Amino acid sequence: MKGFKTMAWSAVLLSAVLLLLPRIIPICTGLAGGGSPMRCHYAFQAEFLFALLAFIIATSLLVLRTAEARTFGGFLVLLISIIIAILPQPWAIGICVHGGACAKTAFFTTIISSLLGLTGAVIIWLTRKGQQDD
Amino acid sequence: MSIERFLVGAFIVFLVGIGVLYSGVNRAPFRQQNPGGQHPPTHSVLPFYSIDNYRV
Repeated sequence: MKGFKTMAWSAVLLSAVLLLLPRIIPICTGLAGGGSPMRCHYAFQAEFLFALLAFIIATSLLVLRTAEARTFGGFLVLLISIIIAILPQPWAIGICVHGGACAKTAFFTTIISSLLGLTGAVIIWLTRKGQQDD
Repeated sequence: MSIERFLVGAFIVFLVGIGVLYSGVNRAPFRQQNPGGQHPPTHSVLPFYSIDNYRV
């Protein structure tokens, strides 16, 4: 139970870091031709929305009581973390080709979303283990 | 905490998040680009009162 609480708080913290990441480590702020934003802008707008969803679901893990709900919450956190990790890939939305500032942000996004995915997987495992022990 | 209170709180957090996204607070502001040049005009200009001051 204590391990579950620790993991749930870790998921809340990691998703909050993902929310703030484009502000802490900014992406490139230039505009493309015609004054429109580049693709890294759209990638990290989408990243913000998914991180917001991950934050709400991670917070729900502190409120939910049943094992099924907790397992499903951990599973959703895992899926969202995978989505966040693949958003900067060129076959999803992508970032600027020249790299630079947004490559640095994407690097840290991948690391933190991987940790979030790991937390989601551990939450599932801990909940299932707790069910089997009962 | 009851689930109803959590849902209300989560919905408020979600709406605040959408507001933050709309206002652009979640990201660094865009660089302003001048079509005529990369930098704003910051050169000092000598005062020019009359052409008579510059006649030799």
